[in-house]
Amino acid sequence: MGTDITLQNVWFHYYPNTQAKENWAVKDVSLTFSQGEYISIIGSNGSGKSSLACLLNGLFIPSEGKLFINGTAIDSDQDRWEMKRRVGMIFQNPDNQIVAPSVLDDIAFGMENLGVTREDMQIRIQQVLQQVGLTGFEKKEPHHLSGGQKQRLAIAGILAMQPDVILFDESTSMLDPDGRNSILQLMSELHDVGITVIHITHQASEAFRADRIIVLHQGSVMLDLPKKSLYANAAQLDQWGLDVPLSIQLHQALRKKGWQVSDKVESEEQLVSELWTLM
Amino acid sequence: MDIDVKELSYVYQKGTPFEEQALSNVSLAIPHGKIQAIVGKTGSGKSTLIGLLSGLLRPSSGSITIGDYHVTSKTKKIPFRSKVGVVFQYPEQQLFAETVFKDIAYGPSNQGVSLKGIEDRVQQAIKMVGLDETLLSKSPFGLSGGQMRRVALAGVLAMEPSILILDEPTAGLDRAGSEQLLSLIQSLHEKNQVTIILVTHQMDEVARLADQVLVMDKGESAFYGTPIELFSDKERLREFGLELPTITKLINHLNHRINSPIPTSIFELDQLVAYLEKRRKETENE
Ligand SMILES: Nc1ncnc2c1ncn2[C@@H]1O[C@H](COP(=O)(O)OP(=O)(O)OP(=O)(O)O)[C@@H](O)[C@H]1O
Ligand SMILES: Nc1ncnc2c1ncn2[C@@H]1O[C@H](COP(=O)(O)OP(=O)(O)OP(=O)(O)O)[C@@H](O)[C@H]1O
Ligand SMILES: [Mg+2]
Ligand SMILES: [Mg+2]
Repeated sequence: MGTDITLQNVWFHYYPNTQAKENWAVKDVSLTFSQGEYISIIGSNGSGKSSLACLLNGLFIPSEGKLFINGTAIDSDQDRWEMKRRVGMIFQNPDNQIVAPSVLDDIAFGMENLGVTREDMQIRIQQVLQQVGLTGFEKKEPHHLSGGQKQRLAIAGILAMQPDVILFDESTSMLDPDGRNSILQLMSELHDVGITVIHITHQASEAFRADRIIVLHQGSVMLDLPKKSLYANAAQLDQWGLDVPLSIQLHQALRKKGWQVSDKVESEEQLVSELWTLM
Repeated sequence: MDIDVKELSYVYQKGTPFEEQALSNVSLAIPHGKIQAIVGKTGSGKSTLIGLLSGLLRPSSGSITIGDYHVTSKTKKIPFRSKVGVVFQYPEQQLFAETVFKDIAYGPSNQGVSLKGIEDRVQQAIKMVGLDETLLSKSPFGLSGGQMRRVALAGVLAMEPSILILDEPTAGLDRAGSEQLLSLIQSLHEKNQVTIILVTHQMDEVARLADQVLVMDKGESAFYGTPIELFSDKERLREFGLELPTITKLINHLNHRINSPIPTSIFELDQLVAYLEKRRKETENE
């Protein structure tokens, strides 16, 4: 049955009464996230990405505007509780998420709140530990983990709750290259089995793996693009201080020098073959 | 101040069932004014090494010498804590004051800088990290992740340390912020001869900035050399769980198809563009 989330003219601010509306954290955002999509959200520091994420999982209540799940408006605390169950969020700083005295208890905690049976819990815990590469760390105290290990634990805790939608708020920022690739791989696998994946990131190479990219700037949506038009529009990202894939930067630099390469490239592959013929 | 680390080891929670040897016999020499990168898998001991270099942890065995200061497992009060500026992996852990201004001013005011001097240093520091002036009166805890990181950085820069240690400083920064920070590191290195120790998972940063790179593996030093040496050994790179810089990958991609390869010692886009230009002109003249 799944979870489609719709935001309709949503505004949000931490101090709505004291701030001019143009300074609000989220400004007049209307978006739909359908079950099974793989979306990345990019935007400069303070552009409202984490605030938007907290609205999507019911942690924050819109200051103005409306939010719908499968067409039904979310109004009561009961609705929001239901929303948190459906939408799992991995926080930017894993310390905000880690609650229990051991890795094992930490993963169990979220499931206990959902009423998962003991047997089922055992199975899920082993499964998610393996998925994030923390098998053998069951008894460790979370605050004795390294930075990247904490990030993996935070991901495991959410996976165990088996939500319909998973929001990763910069969850790869402190992982080593192998770890980052395995989490990106995990996102693709989750997407393959129909889970909605929403990935907030500053890295163009990561953002460009998604099927759809949303660009936020000062709380508003600047771009909302499907995959096939991403490459052609990527040069625009520069104006909001965002990362542009290196191959596109090279393409632009060479065009400026008068190289006869086509004005719109759609992939690195295409650029490479064009350059190759010129050399 | 040269840094000399000799056979350094560290054990967490010694004598408990949770005892963990996080660092074993690491030796390392960082001449004054160099940029030293430290890389390696999650849990390989990078932050532990930094904790020791900054004087927050005491060695279990081995020694650290920074300039005239010497620290071993027996040292009671670690003398160089005030000389070394550290930006931690999670900057929130480093913020504490009621306002951003007070947070950044804390370091210099402890160093006995005059009121006017403090004001100047705060202004200078927020410029260096690209933080909006309107945030100075805000609570550091009511900021976005990247803004907090910039505040933590500014607080350390305001102390004008001669050794600057940064634990994954660009994690969570947007492109403009990372770019600004990397140029800042470059200029502190060139203009002020600050010694920089940079822990990072971004090979692009290593390629671009580092004079030398240390690869940590399971608490041990697994490689020590220049970035060019590291990135030319693909086999070992894979073994260490590392990857090539983006630009090297792109060059390799191009090299698949062309006869005389583009050198993989090129680590900056400008250099690559200049090289391709030169080559094109040569072909045209043939
Ligand atoms: N707890 C808070 N209290 C008050 N204001 C906040 C709080 N958290 C964020 N803000 C403000 O809201 C705006 C949006 O912040 P948000 O955290 O959503 O940005 P972001 O896009 O996630 O940034 P980053 O890339 O740095 O994580 C910023 O101006 C920020 O200063
Ligand atoms: N306070 C602590 N108590 C016990 N063990 C710890 C503590 N801090 C770290 N460790 C362990 O020591 C080892 C090295 O951790 P360290 O934080 O130095 O890794 P790291 O290389 O910085 O990793 P990352 O890239 O994930 O930040 C890890 O196995 C970690 O679990
Ligand atoms: Mg954020
Ligand atoms: Mg670390």
